[in-house]
Amino acid sequence: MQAVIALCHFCENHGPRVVMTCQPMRDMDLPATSLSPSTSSAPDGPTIPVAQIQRNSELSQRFREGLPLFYGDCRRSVMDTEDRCKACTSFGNGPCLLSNDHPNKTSYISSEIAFHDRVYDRVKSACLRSLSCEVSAPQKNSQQKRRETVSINSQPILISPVNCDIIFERSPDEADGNMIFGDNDNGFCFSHTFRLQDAKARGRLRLFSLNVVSNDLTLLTSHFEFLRRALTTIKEQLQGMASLTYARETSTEIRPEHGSIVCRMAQFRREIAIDTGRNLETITGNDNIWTTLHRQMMWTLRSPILSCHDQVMEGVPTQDMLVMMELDAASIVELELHHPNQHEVSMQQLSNLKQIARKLCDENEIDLDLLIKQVVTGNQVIVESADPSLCRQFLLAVSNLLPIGCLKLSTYKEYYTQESIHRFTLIGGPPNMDIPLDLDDVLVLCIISNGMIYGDENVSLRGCRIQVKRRPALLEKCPQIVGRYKKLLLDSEVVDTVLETTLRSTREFWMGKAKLFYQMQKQISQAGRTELMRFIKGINNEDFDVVSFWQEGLSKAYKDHVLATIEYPDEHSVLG
Amino acid sequence: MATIVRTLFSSKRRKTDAHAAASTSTSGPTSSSSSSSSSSSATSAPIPIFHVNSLPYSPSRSMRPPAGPRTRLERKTSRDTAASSSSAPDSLCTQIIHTLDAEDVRFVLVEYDKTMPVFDTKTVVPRSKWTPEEIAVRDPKKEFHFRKPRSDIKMIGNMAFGSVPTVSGSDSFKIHTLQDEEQMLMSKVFSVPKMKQARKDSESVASSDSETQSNYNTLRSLDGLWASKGRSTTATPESFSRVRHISYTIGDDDDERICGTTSLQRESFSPPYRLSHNRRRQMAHKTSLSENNAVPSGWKSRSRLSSCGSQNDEDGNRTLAFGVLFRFTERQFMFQHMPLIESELSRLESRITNAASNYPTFLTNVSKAWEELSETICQLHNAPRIRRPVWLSLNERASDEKSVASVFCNQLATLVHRYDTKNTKYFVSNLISTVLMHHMSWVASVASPPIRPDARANPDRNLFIGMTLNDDAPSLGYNAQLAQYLELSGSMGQLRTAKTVVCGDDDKLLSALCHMLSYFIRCSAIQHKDDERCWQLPTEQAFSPSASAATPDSAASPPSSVNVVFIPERVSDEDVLNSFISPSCSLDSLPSVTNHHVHLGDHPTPSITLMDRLELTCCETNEVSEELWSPTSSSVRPSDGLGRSLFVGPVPYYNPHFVVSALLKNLVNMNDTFTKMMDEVRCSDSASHRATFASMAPSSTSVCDVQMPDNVLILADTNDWTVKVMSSDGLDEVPSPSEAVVLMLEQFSELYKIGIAPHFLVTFLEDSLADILGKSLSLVEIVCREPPGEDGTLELSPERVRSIVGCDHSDLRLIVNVASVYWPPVLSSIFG
Repeated sequence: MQAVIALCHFCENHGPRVVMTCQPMRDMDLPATSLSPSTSSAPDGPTIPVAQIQRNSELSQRFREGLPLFYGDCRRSVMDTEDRCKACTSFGNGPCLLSNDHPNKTSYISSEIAFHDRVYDRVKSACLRSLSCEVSAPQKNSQQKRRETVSINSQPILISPVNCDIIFERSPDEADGNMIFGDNDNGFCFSHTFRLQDAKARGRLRLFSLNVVSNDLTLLTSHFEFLRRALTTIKEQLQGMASLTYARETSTEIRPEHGSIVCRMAQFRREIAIDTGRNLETITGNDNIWTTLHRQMMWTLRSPILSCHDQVMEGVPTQDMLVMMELDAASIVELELHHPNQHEVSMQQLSNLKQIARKLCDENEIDLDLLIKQVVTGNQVIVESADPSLCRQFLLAVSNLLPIGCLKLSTYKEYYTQESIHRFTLIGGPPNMDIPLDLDDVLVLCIISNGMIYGDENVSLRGCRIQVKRRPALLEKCPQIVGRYKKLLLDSEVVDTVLETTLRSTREFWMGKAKLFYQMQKQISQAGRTELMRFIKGINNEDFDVVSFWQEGLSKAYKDHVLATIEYPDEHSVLG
Repeated sequence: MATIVRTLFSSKRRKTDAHAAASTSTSGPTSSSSSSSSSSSATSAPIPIFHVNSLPYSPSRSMRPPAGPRTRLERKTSRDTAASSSSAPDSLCTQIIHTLDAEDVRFVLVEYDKTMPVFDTKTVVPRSKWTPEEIAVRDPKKEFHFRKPRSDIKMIGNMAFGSVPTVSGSDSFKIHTLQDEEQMLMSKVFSVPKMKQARKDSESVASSDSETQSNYNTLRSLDGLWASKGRSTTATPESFSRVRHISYTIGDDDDERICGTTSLQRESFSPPYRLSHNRRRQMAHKTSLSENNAVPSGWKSRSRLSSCGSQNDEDGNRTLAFGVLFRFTERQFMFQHMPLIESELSRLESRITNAASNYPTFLTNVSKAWEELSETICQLHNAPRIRRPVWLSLNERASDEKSVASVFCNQLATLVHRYDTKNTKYFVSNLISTVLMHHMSWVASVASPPIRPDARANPDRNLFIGMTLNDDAPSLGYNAQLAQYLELSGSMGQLRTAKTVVCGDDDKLLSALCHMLSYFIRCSAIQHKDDERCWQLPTEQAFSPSASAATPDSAASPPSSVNVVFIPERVSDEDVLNSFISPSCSLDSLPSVTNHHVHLGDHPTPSITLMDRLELTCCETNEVSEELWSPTSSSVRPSDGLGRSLFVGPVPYYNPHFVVSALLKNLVNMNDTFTKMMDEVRCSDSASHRATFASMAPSSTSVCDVQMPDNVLILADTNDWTVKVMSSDGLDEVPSPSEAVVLMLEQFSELYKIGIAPHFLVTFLEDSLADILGKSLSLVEIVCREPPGEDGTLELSPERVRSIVGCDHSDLRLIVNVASVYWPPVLSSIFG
């Protein structure tokens, strides 16, 4: 609740009274933070604090087939105990008005006094100050205007509300004025004080004020012009209605033929008795005046919020995320990217990855280099095992070394087909598949299980042995990322989430190079691959294959963006 | 001035003696040999540039001071240089056309129930401003001449105090519109101790004032500043230790009660990509009227110049009010800068309170306090602004981001080429590294949200720049301007502020640097659009709330008596429906559509009423009046101006409110400036502190024992190419840049040379920044883990950390500071 608007009245019987308060109600959820950092890229688990769960059950009670009855805490915690008469009463403690702004999850409630005691205290203090303490700036203009009106006026009364001025010692404009007042203890208030004509009021004017109350002074000042205009408009409408009523009530008693102003005044004084108990409905002659005010106040509170488009800082989606949005549901399941226990699944994969690295390295360090090199350069890794789930776990584990867009995964196929050669890089299958011998750049591994535990998920590769059946030619120099990955995988310190974040940042780092390469390739099309690669800092010849392969894994959305930027450098603005 | 500059730099100055040359002559256009020599060497070997390569600035010999507020010092120099400089205004900065003069603002101090003003800038005139006639007739020993009081004093008093004085002890701040005089009156009531007539010794002139400042102004030379004691925020960490137990400072009982419902506030980690969002949620909560959100009761004692309390006995107090009168046309400027002006006024109040303890010097001190305040406000108003702060402009959908990106890339490439060399001590890398270490708001902008499998591609999503529309905004209810201001002044995560001042003599170079920094120093962008939805109001219904708990007997029923439905204009029923039906129900599920009410079975009607525009004709939401103050281009709505207003070009003064500004060294007394800077850095009652306190949970600052210093001021000097960080702990020189930044700039230059499109260059920079954040996440994971194995130690060598994180040694500090934004306990891993 940033601000509320209240209509206040200086009641002739009771003094300053809050007559109507329009308050926006919102659900208030604080950001859920956790004590220990969770840098995991997996979606947050259901870590809803207890308090919130309780709230949610409350909320759910309120929901009937989808839409809540109201938002926020709409309990009435303060009851009005002040003496009141008709003139200073609107809804009383009875039913009030509620408008649900569902798209913006806000309920606007107009009641006599605010529901919450803190709000009420502040509104009440603003009411007292606006009606009996504060002095508005004097307005010479209005006095001048009045004088002019008197001199010019020669028309019969009751046509225009303005003409009614002539019979008053005081003008309805007199108390008009807007001001901001307040302090840190009581909040701040944008106040507009005004008078309404009432034939039966003392001095034939009633004093009102419209107050916007907030804790935030800058909110009131930054919307100063808007509030000034909005409250002035509301006031003018009320004054217009009151004048018409006034004119109607007085005209029945006065006939134009009665002559001079003085004569009319005398009659006026004689015939209209003071009635201090007339409420706003009577003064304005509008039975729907509370509804109208409710709408206008709601509009005043709501419009600045809707017209303010706050663009907050949040990083652009990663390539992985964009790619995932482009994947079909089946692939997401296949790649185990969306799982109720995503975090556990990821941790298990990473643990398997470390197992694989350790096992290969213990046998022959070169084999680990080869495996990582094959994976990151998009060359084939074929895993054979009688147990499909072992193949699957192996391949999912090593898939953490690649951006999602580069994953061409076939977790288990009975046969190694022509399709396998072209479509996939990470392939699983039964032992002794018929892999053409002329394919020289493949790494074939075999997982031998010794009585492993079966399960749907969380299959560990701990008890298995990994045997290399066929090695591709070893490069003179491995790409740099191979060394980095190897170090991370063999480091006993780097486990679980440490491994996860370090792998992720390594992937992102090389993905950045791939992006550069893609952009350059598209923009400077005449240059060759080697030439372009040389412009990218920090990469050597042996890294070319990695960068080339990874740029294929960029998301379609990103590629389209890049192409659009190049194709329409002038008209099409991509940054927007 | 010459002597001041000499003593200031006697130890550090180079042989070239540019400063002495510049300072011995009072005229502006003296060349600075250090900057011109380096820049002329640069122009002799131009870099191959493929694009638009009209270099945005050239080594300039003229140092035309910008049209700013006329301080005494500048008045002298601007007259001298006026004839010689006729060059076009710097394209990177805008000049304010209608300047605000101190004389345009009137200051009145009145006492309750008195008709004579205590002080009035129009009638209480210090000797320095006497007219020749007055000098002739007045007693020259008198400090002030009292002219006949103005007739409006009574009225001002009435407005400030009100007809019934408010309860004593409660400050009362007010803003009145004096429509007839076309003026605004900003006033505040406060009480001061009764004045003592006693001390009359002339020595105490201005003493009560300097007394209050002496707590801070002990610093008269810079000797004490060079070495910072204790922990440093720029030095590379020597060792890391694992953070096993985070000690929390639990608030006092009162705090406990406050936090009872919101216990989560005290906890520390919030995912980096949520930083901006969470701050807003917290703000919505903290500023909500219905919450217990009193400003900490100790607030007043936090005030920098708080009153010394011996004479605070109740009946000895006088109730005073000050009033500040300014033109109606300045209201936009004043309102826009409200947080800053409010804090200035609060300082003024403290100074008046202090001045009141000594009668003989009272007027002198009040006059001086006002002079300084009006000068600050004029500076705020008149300073040249960066025409298009890069980050903000890149995010303005309608504007010319393309040219913004291209100008920025040209600038950065040129700066790197010329000033990121061995000769200039890798100045640009160093400056950017330091800015990234302390102005932390960029962290949120490069923090990608986690992978959400259910996320669907948003066609509006900007894939290059880290900004997204906060869809939650209307359902939260917070002050977006204030959120932006906090981000910009460095209050990200923790309560702290960061400002940068680039100083030197070459104003073209200085504005180029400020412009460049406006890319790295970031904040959220606010746009105001007329929203059709404003006119579509949800329809009301009768509602009977329950008294105690939210039980189902809180009944809402469809309205029976409401029959006012405004006739919609221009909007068809279908539009209305589409815009107002919540996402959870589709059009198909709507059984009936009657007029403008949509009935959903037996539900309370989620229907709308179109507001009649005629009814509120004068209230179009988006109106910009031309006369209003606007810091940059006219296309910007003035209310968005506070953020932009804090990016300032070269000025001949230091103003603590600017987030980025440049200081023309040859036009200021650097000793005084340093003193002022140090005061600001030690001050804990700045505008941004106040804003943070008002909008953040108090406990979130005490989240762990080790904290970053409250305030940081980065001082970059283009004369000796140093970058220093001033904090309450002292002044630290940044010895070398972060390798990650060096590499980023090298690669940037390389790409720039081969003609990569500016958009791509910008995305490259974004990726590089994201990379730093990614590494900080790894660091956090490492230090918060238990050591593996039983013999694992808590200690971690920097080499070990570096190798796991995958960064250079020189990056560690930057990475730690980044991590501390979203997980402050990381700091105890290096300070512990």
